[in-house]
Parts: sequence; structure tokens; C-alpha cells
Amino acid sequence: MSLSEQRSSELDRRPEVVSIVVPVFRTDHLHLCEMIDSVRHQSDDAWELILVDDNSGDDEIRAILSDYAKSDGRIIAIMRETNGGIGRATSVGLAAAKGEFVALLDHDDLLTPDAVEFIRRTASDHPLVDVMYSNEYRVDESGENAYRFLKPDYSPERLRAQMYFGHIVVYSARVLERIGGIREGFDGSQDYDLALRACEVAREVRHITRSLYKWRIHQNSVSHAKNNQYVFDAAIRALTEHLQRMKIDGTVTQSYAEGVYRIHRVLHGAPLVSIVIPTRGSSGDVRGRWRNFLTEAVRSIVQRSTYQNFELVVVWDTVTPKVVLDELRMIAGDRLRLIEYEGEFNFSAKINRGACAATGDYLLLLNDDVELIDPDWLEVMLAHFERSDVGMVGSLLYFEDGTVQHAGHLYEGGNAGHIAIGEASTWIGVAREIHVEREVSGVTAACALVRRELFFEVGGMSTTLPVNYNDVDLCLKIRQSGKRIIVTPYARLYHFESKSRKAGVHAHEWTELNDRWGREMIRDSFEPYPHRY
Amino acid sequence: MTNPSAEPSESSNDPDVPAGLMGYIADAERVLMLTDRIIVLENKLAEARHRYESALHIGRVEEHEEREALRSDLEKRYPKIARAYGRFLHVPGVGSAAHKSVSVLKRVFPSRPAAGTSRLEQEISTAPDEQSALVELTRLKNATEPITDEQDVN
Repeated sequence: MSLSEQRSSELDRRPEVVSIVVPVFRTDHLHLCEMIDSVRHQSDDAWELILVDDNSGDDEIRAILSDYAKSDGRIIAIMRETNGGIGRATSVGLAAAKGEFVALLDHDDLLTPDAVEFIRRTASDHPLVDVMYSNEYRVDESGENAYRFLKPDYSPERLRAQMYFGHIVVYSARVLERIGGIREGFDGSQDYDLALRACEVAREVRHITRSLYKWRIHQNSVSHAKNNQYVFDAAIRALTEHLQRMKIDGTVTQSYAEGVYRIHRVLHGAPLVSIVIPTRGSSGDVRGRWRNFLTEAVRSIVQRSTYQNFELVVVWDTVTPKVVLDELRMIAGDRLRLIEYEGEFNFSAKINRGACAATGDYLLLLNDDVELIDPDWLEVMLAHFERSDVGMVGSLLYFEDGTVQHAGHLYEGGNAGHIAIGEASTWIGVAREIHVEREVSGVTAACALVRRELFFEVGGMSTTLPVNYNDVDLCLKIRQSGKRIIVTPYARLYHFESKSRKAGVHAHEWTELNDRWGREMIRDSFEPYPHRY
Repeated sequence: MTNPSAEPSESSNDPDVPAGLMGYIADAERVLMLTDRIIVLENKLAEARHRYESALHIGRVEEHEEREALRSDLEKRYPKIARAYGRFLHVPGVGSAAHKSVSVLKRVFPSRPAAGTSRLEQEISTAPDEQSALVELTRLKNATEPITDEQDVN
């Protein structure tokens, strides 16, 4: 078979054409021409470009669009006689699109030359894909000084908190037809509304791990314009309707100034939570005062928690001072269940013993050197389990000095680490991701809520990992069972683990972990900047 | 806190788990451990299989690279001739002619492509010549009389 024959057969397996829809309205003429040229110079020429002028009232813009349409048969220029807003203009463009996949491009942004090629390759490799989004470049007004903006793999929980898809987003004609295309009345957040509705019915959502789009950041960008509260109001409406369609009982508020939202989920019922705390009753210095870690941790939980239906299952080593257990009895009252652990130190075995003695529907694995910050932590974490595919929920933990101790696990190159460790409490992440609820590869067992049934289904914590990586192993088992793991920034605690403490991981522990999970720890799915931490 | 399913403590104020329950807890711990061991074994097998397949793949890549390294520039440039040459080497009487044809090709065509031309351009530009060389080789193969090294294939 000749090279040309091979190429044509490969082409036959790909979607035929990618339609690129661009609503145009009073944009810089040079930027407009650069946008169109970036499409014309694609390495793969199986595209059509649909330009919809939303009655800009600018003859020069119309002339530019007409000239390009005349010069290239793949370019279609549509001139609207009335201004209908970006949602209406996009709808008109979508209606004219003939491709199997439709990409949305802003009138002042740019595609990289390989954008269409990668979109078609992804569609070819994943026949069920209905939604694709890529990494992107952020560029200045001149289109220069690009930096790559990386994104996680598909994270539905994060999508409920921010429109992290950004650009470029590509939809199958099938899914657009099913959801009825773009909706009017959501201008400024019409893309967010479209993404939410499309993902609800998509057979597959794929992240293209390559930057295919250059987003020009300038003062006139909608997301950077002043008086853009209407954008966020539209997003809140889109999210509210999304919750209704997904049967998630909750309300939406705006957390930060620019496009970050919080879903306040309503917890139905009050299941019993068993808080399992392994301890040896040790004491230490916190904020200049000597304290017993266990008693103060329990005191903060008992005194501050607004959720009342919990029991405390404390698994204590034989060396635990009697005075500590006596004080614990005083603080916790009839919530307390004490169970002795007499063997050599084995964190996993202690947690398992506590889980076996627990009677709650949910197990909260908790270290004894913590202190509660958010009183509604249990309600926040429990509410996620209203979704049956959630297996585990973790929290945001701070060191004594307020720096971040844990905002989720990341698994990369066979190693496990903590996202954002050591960052200031004000650090919100590259894309504000630290302060949104989102999927992660795993969470620390220093504070993790898990369904008891699932905990037993996956064999609990592995006692052959007595010190390190037992929580990593547990998380990977839970993900292997098909469940999602969520970390929430709205359940915060202090964790008085010394920042200077060496991890003390032995080579055999690393080997054991990688002998089980090496293939699953090559690249982290949800933390696109693993080497930052 | 309500806990109707729990076995009552030996005294209502005693939070210690009753000794009578410890046997059940030990059983439950063993079940957990066994379940974990099964999952560990399954994953160790999956991981070993993954590594084996990866090693095979790497082996194939390395072997390919090694073969590529052994190939002469001429072979890389004229792959069809190289394959034909390889076939002729084992044909009695023709092998020596194949050697001869290669030496002729070396004289006829420059051993290195012109600077600044892409690989595709090189393939396109050299294709007719390669076709001619193949015709020549085919003619040699079809020759009824054994060809000696002294004969000039031209």
C-alpha cells in the first residue's frame, strides 16, 4: 500500500470536517484577520469556518468577512441585520455548521496550526467522544508572550465550581442536537451553560492534553471587563438549572470575584458517622502551648461540630497514658468507643480495627493531631455522598502556621505527593483550583470520609503498608472500584504534623506501592502542575 | 448519638469495647486482610503484565533502532532496493549480481541527499531512479545464465 493510499485510508476513519463557529461583534480588525488566518493556516484542511457578524455596525468588519469568504470556499460569512447578543449569534453559526464536530472560537483569539489535526485525531481515537477541551495558551494583546495554561482531565465536580474547560471546546453535532444547541439569555456565560448541559448527556468527555488555542487577554475581554456581574449572574442561573437537572439539592453562590462558585448541598438524613482515630496519646507544643493532641482534637470536634450524629472510635496503643483516656471519657461522653491495639505500630491495622468496631454507615479516618476549623465540616463532606459514584471525600488541611498541608493527593512518576503543600493559605492555585471542590487522585487518611461498605469492599487499609502509602493504596483501590474521590476546601482543619518532618519513606515501601500501582501512577489525572509541589 | 445496632457496653458509662466483641472484630479484621491480599495480588499481576508488555514494546523499539543503526545510508534511502537485495542474496548465482548492482548504484547515485531537502522531497525526487534500479535488479534475477563477478551489469 502506497503512502498516499495509507493517508487516504486514515482520513476515511476520521470525522469529516470540523466546523469552527465564530460570533463577531465590534472587534479589533487586525485581531479579526489574525483569527481567520490562524484557521486558514491549519495543518489539516478538513475544516469550515462560520463567521457570524452580530450587526456590528462596522462596515470594515463586514468587508473583511466578505473578502475572506470570497477568497476561500470553506469560509462562510453570515451578516445579521439585528444585534441579538453572543448567544443568538452563536446559535445562528451552529445552525449553519455541517461538520460532525463543532468548535467555538472567539473573534479575537487564535488557533494553533495543529488544532484541527488534534481535534480530528482525538475524535478518531475515541469514537464515543461528545465533548473535547484542550489546554490553551494565554497571550497578551499582541498575541505574544504565550504561557501554557494546563487543565485537569474531566472533573465534573470542578466544572460545577468553575468553567475550567476554557478554550477550545469542541462538541459533537449529536450532542448539540440533543441538547438543542446554545441557549439565549445566558450571555457572557453561554459557553458555561452549554458545557454543563452537554456534559450531562455526553457519552464521553475528553481532555486534549495539548495547547490548541491562544486566548488573547486584554482589557476588552468579557471575563476581564468591568461591570461584568451579569456574566456571573448568568453562570449562577446556569448552575442552578444544572443542579435541578442533575437532581442535586443545593444552591449556588459566587465565591470569588471571577467565576468561581460554591454549591451549597443540602444533606438529607443524618447517617451515623464513625470517626476512627488511631492514637498513642502523645503530646506536643502547639502555638507555644503544650497540649495532648488527642484530647484537644476530640474537644474541638465535640464542641464545634454542628453535625451531631457521630461516634468516636479511638484505637489506642497500650502505651497510651491512662490520664489521657480518662480525660477523653470526660470530653466525649457516650459518643466514645475505646478499643485497644496491642501490636507493633501499624497505622493500617489500627484503622481497620476501628472500622471493625465502628457502627456508622460512614467512616471518618482521622489523625489525632488535628483541630477543627469549619463547624459544618461533616455536613459538607457527607453531602457529597448523595451521589452514588462518590467513594471518598477529603478536606483541606493546614499546618500550625497556616500554610497548606493537604489539598489532595497527586500521583506522578510512581510517586505520591500533596497538592499545594507548603503554600500560603492565601494561595488559591494556578486557576483558583485549591479553593474549589474537585476530583483528585486521592486524599490523605489524616482526614477522609468513606462509605463503610466501600471500605470493606476494597479490603480496608493494607496492613502490609504499615506506615507510609497506606492511604495512597486505599485511594487507588477506591478509584479502581469506579468511585470518584473529592476534596473540598469547605471542610478545613489544622493538622499539626511538623513541616520539617522527613517523610521517612523506605525503598521497600515505594517498591511495594509501585509493584501494585505503578501503571496507575505515571501521570496524575487531575493536577496538571505536579512538579510545582 | 444513636447506635441501636451496637451491642451494649458492659456498663452504660464504659466506652471500652466489650471483650466479648473482640473475637468478632478479629474475624472481621481477617476478612479485611484477606480481601486486601486478593486485591493486592490482582494488582501485582496486572502490574507485572503491564511491565512485561512494556518491556516487550521497549525491546521491539530497541531492536528496531538497532536494525536502523545497522542499515547503511543507501538502504535507508532506497528501501525497496534494500529489500530486493536482501532477497537476492540467498539466490544461488544471483547474490553476487546483487552485490554488483549495489556497487553500481553507489556509483550512480550520491550516497547522501542534498542539503536542505526534506526526507519526503528526497523520496519523491529519487523515486524514478529507484524504479530504474529495481528494473535492473529484476532483469538480473531473470537472467538464465549465472553471472560472474567479472561481468559488467551495465
